[in-house]
Amino acid sequence: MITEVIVSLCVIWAGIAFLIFRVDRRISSLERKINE
Amino acid sequence: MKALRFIFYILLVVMMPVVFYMALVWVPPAMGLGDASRILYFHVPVAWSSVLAFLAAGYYSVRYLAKEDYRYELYAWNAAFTGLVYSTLTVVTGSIWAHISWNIWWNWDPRETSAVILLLIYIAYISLYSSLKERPGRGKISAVYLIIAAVVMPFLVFIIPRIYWSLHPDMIFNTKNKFDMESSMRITLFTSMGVFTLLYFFIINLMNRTAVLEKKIQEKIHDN
Repeated sequence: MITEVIVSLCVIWAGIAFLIFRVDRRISSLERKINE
Repeated sequence: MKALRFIFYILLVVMMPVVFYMALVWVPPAMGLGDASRILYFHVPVAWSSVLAFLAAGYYSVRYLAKEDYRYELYAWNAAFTGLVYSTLTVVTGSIWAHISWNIWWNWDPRETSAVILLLIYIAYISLYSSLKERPGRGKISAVYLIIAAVVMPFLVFIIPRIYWSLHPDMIFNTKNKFDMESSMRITLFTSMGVFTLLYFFIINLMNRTAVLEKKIQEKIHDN
């Protein structure tokens, strides 16, 4: 049963990582624009 | 402001492992549900964060209509998008829990059905916003939609699942509408909700600052 808890935690952190990665991607695109 | 931000980050970094320890080690498993009940300490805070996000989207939309400041349009979009991600996580973790407790991934329980309707409402917003592109009036149309969605949201999250008979734990454990929980469980749940609220504010703040910066740089490039 603890396996399902760990799986749930992984799902939650994958979602949160997705949000942070989106910010990271936008910052990278901004850096590119500034350098151009 | 800098000191406040520092305290905020320290609190988030220190308290997140504390919540993990409390939820996975310190708190005893709930009677009848076993260790599976530990999902509660992550599923509920994520659901709470999605409610916060949808309320924030409504609030920013009201501010946008009042001031017509482009920043609020961006903030509202970010809030609605994070709300959509958080409510998807709520549905997925809820489904995992349903599989353990009810031996079925999905059974159209009133709580599950209202969560799906809420998801569809915000998916429709993302489609609406994307389809309007840079057209004039996009901000106003999307703001009105988000305000209506924020008014509907409490009915779908708090009222409808309580009107109909549901297998969802708050109806079974909490038939008298009282917060009936052992103190260690209550402390863990509220600590987790607090820390996830901090995490939500950290993410939305990051997204909002990036979006405003992006817009300003775009305008500067356009002017040159």
